[in-house]
Amino acid sequence: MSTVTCTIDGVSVTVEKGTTILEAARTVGIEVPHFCYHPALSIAANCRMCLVHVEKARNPLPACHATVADGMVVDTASEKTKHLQEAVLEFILVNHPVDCPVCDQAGECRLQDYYRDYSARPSRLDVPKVGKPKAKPLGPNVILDAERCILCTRCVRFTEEISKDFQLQTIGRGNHTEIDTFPGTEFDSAYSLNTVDICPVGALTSRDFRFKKRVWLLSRHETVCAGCARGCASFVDHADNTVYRYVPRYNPYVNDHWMCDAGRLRFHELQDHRLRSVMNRDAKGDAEPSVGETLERIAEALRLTENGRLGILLSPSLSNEDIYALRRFGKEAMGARFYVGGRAPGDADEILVMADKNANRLGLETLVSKAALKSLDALAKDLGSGAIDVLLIAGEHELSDAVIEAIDKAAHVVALTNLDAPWLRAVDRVLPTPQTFEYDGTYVSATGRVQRFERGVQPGPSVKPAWELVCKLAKLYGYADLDFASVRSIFKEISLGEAAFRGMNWKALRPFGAQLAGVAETMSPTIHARAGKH
Amino acid sequence: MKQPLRPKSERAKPFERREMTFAEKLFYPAIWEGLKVTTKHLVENIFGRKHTVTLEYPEVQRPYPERFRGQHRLMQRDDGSPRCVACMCCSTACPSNCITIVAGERPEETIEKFPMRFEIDLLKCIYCGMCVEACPCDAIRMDSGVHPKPTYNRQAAIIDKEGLLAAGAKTIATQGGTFGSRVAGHLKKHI
Repeated sequence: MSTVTCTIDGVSVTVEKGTTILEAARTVGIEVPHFCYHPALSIAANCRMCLVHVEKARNPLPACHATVADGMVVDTASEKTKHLQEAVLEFILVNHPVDCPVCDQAGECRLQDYYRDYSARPSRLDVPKVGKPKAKPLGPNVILDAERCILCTRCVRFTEEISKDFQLQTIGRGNHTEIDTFPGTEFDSAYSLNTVDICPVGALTSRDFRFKKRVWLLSRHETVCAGCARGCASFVDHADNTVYRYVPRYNPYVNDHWMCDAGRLRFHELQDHRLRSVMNRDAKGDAEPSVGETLERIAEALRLTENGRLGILLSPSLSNEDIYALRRFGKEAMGARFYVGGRAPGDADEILVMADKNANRLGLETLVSKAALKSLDALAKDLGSGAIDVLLIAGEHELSDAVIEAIDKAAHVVALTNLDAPWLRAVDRVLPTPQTFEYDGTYVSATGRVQRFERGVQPGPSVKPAWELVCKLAKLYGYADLDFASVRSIFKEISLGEAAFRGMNWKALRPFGAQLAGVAETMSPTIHARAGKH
Repeated sequence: MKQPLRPKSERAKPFERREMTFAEKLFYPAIWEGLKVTTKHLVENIFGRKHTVTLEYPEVQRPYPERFRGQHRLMQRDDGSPRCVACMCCSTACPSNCITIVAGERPEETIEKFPMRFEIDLLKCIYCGMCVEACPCDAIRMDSGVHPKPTYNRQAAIIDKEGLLAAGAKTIATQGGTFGSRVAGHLKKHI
């Protein structure tokens, strides 16, 4: 493809032909202010915030729409352009209620930021502002404040181009234009909360997050959504050791800029039904048994177990490091049999949601070969025939009553799990493990992307990741080889020893992860949908 | 022996000790000078009360300066509800983290956000007034002129929303700020 060279603010920029001024300016670190432009959506050029002066051009040009030409001289920062930006902002603010104290977007609002950066002057308006509906529920997850809306139509374009359910539109004319659903319908898209993210102002707010916390009080950590096998890259926003929201993180290989509503809101379930304390069926007194003493008893039971009579029920929701530690201990020390359980499959769509609701099935099948993993039916059969004395259940599972009954018959059942579940009644000892947002690790998405997640909030004192518990258990059992000090050291061993992970580096897993060897690299399905971009 | 020279920035300024004069070396003139001041105050305080700088506290109290920061209060709207919209600006600005706000929603009102809980821990508060400066709604003020009262337990030193509102009053300030100064002049002509 041919290239063109232009000058932006005195800096010479060489880009591919057809690049817009805004994107060309970005390549040299010049940010042109904009509301309606979004890299993943079509260009609307309706907010006019990105107007720039171009030498020899008759009028100012919208930088998001005008493409660069050879020899073009663009100025984005002179007094002349600043005057344009100020004027455009004044127009946008004519009907904006400026109710920042009440608005949830305050702190991450483009209008607020740009007002500070480009205008910061008092209003000259002496006529009443146009009143529009406030706090109007558009759907189960999204609430609209039509007064705050600057009509950039990002949300409308999102429902047309990405979620493809065409649920939003603009109605009315001029001053009285509003965003709304079609009459008699509601905005119930499975991706509706993405419009809240891309809304540059506080017009669309999340019903779930609304008024819960001011955004400047939130801390942010990189994580991966464990809701399904897609493994959407996301941020976990938390404060006071509580998760407040999940926000998608850009990863072109996995989820692009988007994330489904169910995945975002899943942290409620993980927070509300989590396990916090150690449980020992044979504990005496009311005091909570300690992790150490419980592990001691498990080790005791394992020492009395013959080689090959330990069963390990693995969940495809465990991190690679957990699985690796369990595999090494099970295989090398106990000659264990491996079974696979996990969360039951659910709905899928053509955008991001996958039917497999486990975050790391590919990782499990890579680290413990698919042939070595037996099904739940096989587990019930082995338990029935008495082939297993001790069963170790790791991770999240949804088990049928038949399997729970079979588990109940086993002599000794230990669970390392994060969520309260009905099958826990068949378990003798429970050691709580952290949720995805509470520890470090890696997942492999269904498309073979190895992604890292990091600890956001601190779990309780007796909550330990499965790999740590297994390492301690191995030590107590008398198997000294398994002695990992950190997740990083496990990942290093995986990347050295496992062919599919060879050459991966813990630090280099940021920001977009690495591709599992043997699985073809794919882009996010939403990127395929918008051909010609990226 | 001379000390080795330190870098110029660290060196102290040289100070020459002045030799005392003969009169100073006697000490008695200086003692006499001091006694004169003490005696003058003694006599003035006994006979001429108008020169006295001290007050007979607590019967007599000095008026507080206008900008004295006393115990907080929450201002009210015309209907008696708090002007506060739970924007958390005060608790964010607070250097001692003494303000706890829990926001709630009331969809029937034009201003749909309000504080369900608003508590100030007076034991933590350092009376710096940052909360008042941060408030965009003229909701929190420290102009009550009231000293925090001593309490028997820590819990009693936390004032809740009702307590703060009871000390408050209605204000004439426009919710959400006033017009810009340029417009204000322009409007005056019309009014």
